Amino acid sequence: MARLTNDDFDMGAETNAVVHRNPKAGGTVAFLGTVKEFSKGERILKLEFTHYAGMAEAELEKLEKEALEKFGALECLIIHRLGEIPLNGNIVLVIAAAVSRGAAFDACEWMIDELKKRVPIWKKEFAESGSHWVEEHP
Amino acid sequence: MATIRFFASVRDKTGRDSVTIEIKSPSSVGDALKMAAAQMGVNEATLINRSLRYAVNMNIEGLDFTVNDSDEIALLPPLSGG
Repeated sequence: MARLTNDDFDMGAETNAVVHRNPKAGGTVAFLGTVKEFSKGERILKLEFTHYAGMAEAELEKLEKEALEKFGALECLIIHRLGEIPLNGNIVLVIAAAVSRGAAFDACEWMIDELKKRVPIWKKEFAESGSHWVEEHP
Repeated sequence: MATIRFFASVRDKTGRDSVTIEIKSPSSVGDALKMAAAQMGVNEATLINRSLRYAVNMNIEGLDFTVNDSDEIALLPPLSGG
């Protein structure tokens, strides 16, 4: 079940939990998004994420459900952090477990791509020159 | 009363999280936003422009969608999660 959280998460623990819940899986793919040091040539100090409570959770859960159906995955999990995240910190974790690796890779990639298009979450970049809302898909 | 919610860059521009307006008879999202702009004293273009999408009761809808006094309208600037 998708989670939006102000707390950090442990990629290894979350991935192991998915693996252990799915003995039929032959492959589990995990994508971790982190705060990168440079954006458009500017050094990034931190990011801040805000969301539309209620709609964001509902859209994340829809993504998980759609990925299960579309790719025949056994389990899909999305965790996205909110609030301030420092340089190199964890932002988002997307995990897909499936019988075959192809479905797991496809489901994982599809979920992170769709998340960026559909889930009402916004990112503010704090750079050395100031802060601004990011309003384009990377 | 209908609630109009603002996020990210639009929240910064309006200086607030939300505003409530009275919709006496079913109106379009666009008309409701014009009322809100007038009530807040902000330029209509801040609330109605091509970069924004709109959600009514958490479903994406267009500016022509009909809203009532109990609805929640959200202005969604370009998304940037992930």
